[in-house]
Amino acid sequence: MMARNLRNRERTVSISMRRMAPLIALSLLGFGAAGAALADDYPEGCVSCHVGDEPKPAAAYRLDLQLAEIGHGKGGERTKEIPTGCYRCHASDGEGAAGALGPYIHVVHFQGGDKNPFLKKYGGDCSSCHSMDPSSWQAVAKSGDRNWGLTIGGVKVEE
Amino acid sequence: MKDRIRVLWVAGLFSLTAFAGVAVADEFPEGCVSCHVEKIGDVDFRLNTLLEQIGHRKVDRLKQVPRDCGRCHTSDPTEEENFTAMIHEIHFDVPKINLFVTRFDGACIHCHQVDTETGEAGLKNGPKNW
Repeated sequence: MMARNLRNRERTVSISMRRMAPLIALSLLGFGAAGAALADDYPEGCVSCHVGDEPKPAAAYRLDLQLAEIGHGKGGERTKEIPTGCYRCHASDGEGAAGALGPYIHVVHFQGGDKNPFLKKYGGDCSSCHSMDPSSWQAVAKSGDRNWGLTIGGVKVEE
Repeated sequence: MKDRIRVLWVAGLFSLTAFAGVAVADEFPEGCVSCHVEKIGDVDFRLNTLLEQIGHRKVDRLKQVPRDCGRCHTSDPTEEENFTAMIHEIHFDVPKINLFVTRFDGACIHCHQVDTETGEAGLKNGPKNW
């Protein structure tokens, strides 16, 4: 496998971004506002949508409350940044103590197709949770500070 | 008049019932080649034509796009000029004026798909259209 990857890398023909410039230009109208980004309604991903203190609507229920209801471990109380902190256990490569977070979250939000509340009620799409990192041009999960207080032994404490 | 309204009402109800439960159709089931077609207005928007314009080597031997592009292009994110980054940059750079964003909605699901049972996200693929 490694040898094959190595061969693939050796065969890799590197087309520089400069040579791709005309193609990029073809995809642009060619004037104005270079570098400007579009407004983002959900800049912090999970915690931009999951804001409710009440169980209904369930889809917007705060994540710490949802997790408590399904008997999730206390990790949710110690996690400060969502979903980045979740990766401590739910590593993307599947090597963490718990399963990878990505596939699970995709199922929750897309199962049932257009009947899923994420799509039907909230008009959600990939960009609700993901953004494009313009420095690496890789898609990444948005992240934000948790929107619930720190609790120790079930008692809220000042941070 | 009442009969006409009743017929229309029944027809409307039937059509709603008939389509209930049908998933939204994928307008771009084959990714790249679903959008990059021979005629968009007067422009030949096929990838072989666009690539020829920038001096890319012949792509006649490809069969599946973008799967076969991976024969030469790496998608390893640690490589500076990886294929993923290049395609994302072409489609999302300067979003206010990028045609993919402004005219074609710029949605990830034009090119990607999610298996709703496993949650795995992947690339759409299709036979070359040249």
